[in-house]
Amino acid sequence: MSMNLDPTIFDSLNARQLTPFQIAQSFIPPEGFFELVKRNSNILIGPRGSGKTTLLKMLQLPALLTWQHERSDEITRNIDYISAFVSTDRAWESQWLMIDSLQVHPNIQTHIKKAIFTAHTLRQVIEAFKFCTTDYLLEHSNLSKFHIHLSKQDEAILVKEIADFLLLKVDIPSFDFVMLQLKKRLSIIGEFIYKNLHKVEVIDEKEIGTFIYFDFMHSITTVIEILNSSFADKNQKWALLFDELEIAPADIRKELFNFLRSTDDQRIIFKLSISPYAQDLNLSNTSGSYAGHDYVPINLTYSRKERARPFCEGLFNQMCRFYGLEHLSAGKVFGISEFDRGNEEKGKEQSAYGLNSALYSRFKSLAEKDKSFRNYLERKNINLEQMESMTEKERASKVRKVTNLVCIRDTFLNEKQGIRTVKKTKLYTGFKTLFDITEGNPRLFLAIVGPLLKKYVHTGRPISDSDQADIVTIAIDRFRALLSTIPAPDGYPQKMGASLISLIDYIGESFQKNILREDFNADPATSFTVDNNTHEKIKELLGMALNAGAIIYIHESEETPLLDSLNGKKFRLSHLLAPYFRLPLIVNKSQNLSTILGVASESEIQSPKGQGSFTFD
Amino acid sequence: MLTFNNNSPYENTREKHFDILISALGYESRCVHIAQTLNGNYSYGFCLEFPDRKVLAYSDNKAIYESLHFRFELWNNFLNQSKLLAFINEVLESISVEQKILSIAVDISSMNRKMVAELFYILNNHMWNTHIIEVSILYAPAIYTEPEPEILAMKNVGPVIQEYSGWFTNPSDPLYAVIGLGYENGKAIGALEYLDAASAWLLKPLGKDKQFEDQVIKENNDLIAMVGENKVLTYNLSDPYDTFIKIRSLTEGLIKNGRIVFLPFGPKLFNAICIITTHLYDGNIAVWRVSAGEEEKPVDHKANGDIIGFTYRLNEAAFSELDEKK
Repeated sequence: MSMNLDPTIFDSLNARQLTPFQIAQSFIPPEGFFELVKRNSNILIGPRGSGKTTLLKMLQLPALLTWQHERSDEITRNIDYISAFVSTDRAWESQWLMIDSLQVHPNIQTHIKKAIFTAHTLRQVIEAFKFCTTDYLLEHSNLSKFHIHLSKQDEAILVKEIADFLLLKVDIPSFDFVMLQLKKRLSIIGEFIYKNLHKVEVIDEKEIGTFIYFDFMHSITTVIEILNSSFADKNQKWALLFDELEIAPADIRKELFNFLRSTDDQRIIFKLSISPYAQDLNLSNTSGSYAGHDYVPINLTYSRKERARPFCEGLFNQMCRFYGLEHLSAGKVFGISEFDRGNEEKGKEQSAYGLNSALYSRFKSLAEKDKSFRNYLERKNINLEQMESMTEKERASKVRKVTNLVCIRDTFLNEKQGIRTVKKTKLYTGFKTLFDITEGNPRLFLAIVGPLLKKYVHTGRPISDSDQADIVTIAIDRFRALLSTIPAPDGYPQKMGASLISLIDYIGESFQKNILREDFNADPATSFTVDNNTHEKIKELLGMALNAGAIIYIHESEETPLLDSLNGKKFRLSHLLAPYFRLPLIVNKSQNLSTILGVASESEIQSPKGQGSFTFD
Repeated sequence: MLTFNNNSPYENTREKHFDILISALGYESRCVHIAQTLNGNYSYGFCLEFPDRKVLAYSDNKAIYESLHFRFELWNNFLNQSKLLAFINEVLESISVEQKILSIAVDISSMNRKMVAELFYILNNHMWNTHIIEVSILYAPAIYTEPEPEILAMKNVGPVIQEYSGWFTNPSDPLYAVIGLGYENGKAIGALEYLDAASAWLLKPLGKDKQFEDQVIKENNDLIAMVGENKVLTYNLSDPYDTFIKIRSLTEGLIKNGRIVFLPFGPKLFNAICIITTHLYDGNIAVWRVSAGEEEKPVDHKANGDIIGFTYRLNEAAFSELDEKK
C-alpha cells in the first residue's frame, strides 16, 4: 500500500495552478467530457469548482499526451483539432473595471477591451502552435499527426507574415518574439490607462496604436490561416477554449456567443465555459445561438444527488489508485450514512428494521418525544415494532421516504419539542452522504474526501464520524466565507439584509422551520420557485448565488441549464449547506420564494407538478 | 522613485521633526495619540475628517485637533488631490531655501484602507521637482479588543482603489495571493476563495499582545491548514523595515512567473507597507480590500502607547544626481 503523504496533485487550490500535464495525471472524465471532445462548439455550464477549467485544459495537446485512461486511445485517435486555452479570472476582471473609468468615448473603451482579449487569445494560439513543433508529439502514435517540423527559415517566414498582418515590429524572427510584442501591446495599453486616469499628460487614444481597432475574429482567423500553411492539412481545425466567460466583459461574451451561430469558418470551433446564470445573454432572442443547433451544451451540475454519484465514485476510485489502493470501497473508509441505513442493509441477514436496528431506535426515539410524529404513524398505520414484517413497497413509501426527516428531527428535537444545541453530529457522515454533500463538484470533493482518504492511507483505519463531521464543517465555513464576500447589488431591499449570505440564510431557515419547528410533515418544502412577486434585485442576487453554487437549478433532464432569467424556475440549496441548516438531502415540494421571504400575505405550497395548492393539515 | 533609509531604519520616531503631520479624525481614541504625543515635533497638521459615524471619541478628538491647529479636509470617500497638494505646496513655500528635504509624517492609525491608498498614491506619484520628500508612516497600535464573532457580509471586494488594480500583461500567469492575516472571522479565507488564486502565502503578525496573536491563529486555522504551514511567514509589527524586506523578497520571487495580489488584512501598517511595495513594481501588483463598510460596528480602539514608524524618500535619486553634477 502506498503511503504517499506528500502534497499531491489533489491538494492544489484549483485547476488554474496545474499545468495540462498535471491535470492529465489525475483526470477522471465525467460523461460530459466525451461530448466535449467531439468536433462541435460547446458551452460548458457549471458553478465554480464544477470542473470547467479542468475539462477545457484537458483538450490541450500537452494534457492529451499525458492522459492514461481506458478511452484515451479512442479519444486521441479521433480528435482532429488543436486547442488554444484562453483563461480569465477575478484579478483580470478588475482591469476591465478600470477601463470603464477611462475618460474616453465608450466605443474606445470597448475597442481597448477587445484589443486586450485579442492579444491574449493570439498568444494562446501561437503557444498551442509552438507545442506542435516540439518532439513530444512524436512519442504518441495518435497525436503525432499534429506534429510539424519547422525549420528556422520556415519559422521566420511565418513570423514575418503574422507580424505584417498584426503590424508588429519583430526584430528577431521567432514566435517567442511575437509573443513578447503582443505582451508589449498590453503594456502600451496599461500605460495609456495610467496616463488617462491620472491626467499625467494628455494622450489621445490614437497614440496607443491602430491595433486597438483590429477585429477580434478576423485577427484570430487570419493568424490561424497563416499557421495552417505549415500543416499538411491546410484546413487544420482549431478549437478556441474560453474559460469563465461570466468574468469576461459583456461585449466579448456576447460576441463569442454570436460566433457560435456563425458558420462561416469551419476550421474553428468554440468551447466556452460559463456559470449557469448570465443576465445579458438574451437566450430567448431568436437571432441568437441555439442549443443543439449551433452548439451542444454540457451541464456540469446535478440537480439530483443520484446523478452525481457515479462521478463521485469514479473520482474516489481514481484517488484510491493514486495511493495504490485498488478496489477499496468507500463504505469501508467512511461507513454507511444514517440516512441510507435502510437502503444499504437491504437483503442482509440482520434486518435494518428489526427491534435491534439503529433505524428502529431512531423512529422509536422520535415517537416518544414528538406527538405530531406519533400522529403520522397512526395515520399511516405504521407499527414500529412490526416494520420488519412490512412489505418492501410499504417500507419504501412509509418508512424509507421519511427516514431523512426522522433522523433530523430525532437528532435536533428535545423532549419538549424545542431545538437542541448539538455541537457536532454524526448525522451527515457516511460515504453516500459525504458524496452527496459534494454535489459531484470536483473541487469540493477533493476538499472533503481528499484529506480523509489521506488520513485513511496513513492510519489504515476507517475514518471516524467525528473526523468526517469536522471536515464537512470546515468546508461549510469556507463556503460561507466565500458567500460573505459577495455583496448585494445596489438597490437591494435593505430589510433582507445586505448580502448573499443573508438571503441564503433566510431560505435555509425557512426550510429548517418546515422540518424542525412545525409539526412532522412527510413532504415538507425543500425547494423554492422564483415567482413574479420576487423583487428584481433579489433575483439578481440569486443569480450570483447560482453561479457560486449556493443554490442549484432543478431542471428537466433535456433542458439546458443556462439561464438569463430566473422567473418561474425552481431551485434548491446546495447539499453542502444541509448540515448547517439541518436539512435533509432530498428534493421535495417547492415553495414560492416571495412567500419564504415574507412578501406574500399567506402561505401557499405547490406540489412538484404544480397541481393546485394546499395548506398544511 | 522611492528610496529607503537604509542607513538608519530604526531611528526613534519620537525624536524626529516633521514639517507636516497628516492624520484622520474619526471615532477612535487613538486618533489623536500621535498628534498629541508628538506635539511640538511637527510644524503643520492636516486632518482628513470622516463625515459620518460621529460617535464614541469623535467630538473629543475634533476638539483636540482644533486645539492643535490642524487644518481640516472633509473625506467624502475620496481625497481631494488638489487641496492636499496645495497645502503641501504652501508648506514648501514657507520653509527655508536651504532645506532640501520636506518631511511628511502620515498617521495611518485611524485611517481606513481607501484613505491610506489614495493618500500614498497621490504622494508617491506626484512630480516633486523642488525637494526631496521624506514620508514617514506612523502607526499607533491599539490595545487588544475582541473581534466580532460572526462573519460579516462584505460590501467591498476588489482593488482598494482602481489605481491599485494591478496591470497584468499575461492573464495566463498563475495568480498568487499574498495575505496579511488579521483576526476578523472568515475574511481572509473568503477573499482567497473569491479570488480563486493558484496559490497563497500568509503573513502572520507578531506583536506585543499575545491575545492578538492567539486570536489571529484561531481565526485563520482553516486557512493555514488549506494553504500549508510552509507558506506561512511571520512578521514583527514593531519592525516595519524588516517586514518590508520580507514582503519585498517574497514579491521578487513570485513576480518572476506570476501575478500578485496583496490582501493586506490585519494591522494597517502591514497594509501601508504593501502599498509602498507596489510602487517599486510599476503598478504591476494589485492591492485588494475586503470590507463590510457600514456593517462594521464602530469600536473605540485605544492606543497602547507605542508609535511605530517606517520612512522612505521620494525623488532622492534625482537630487543625488544633481548634487553629483554640481
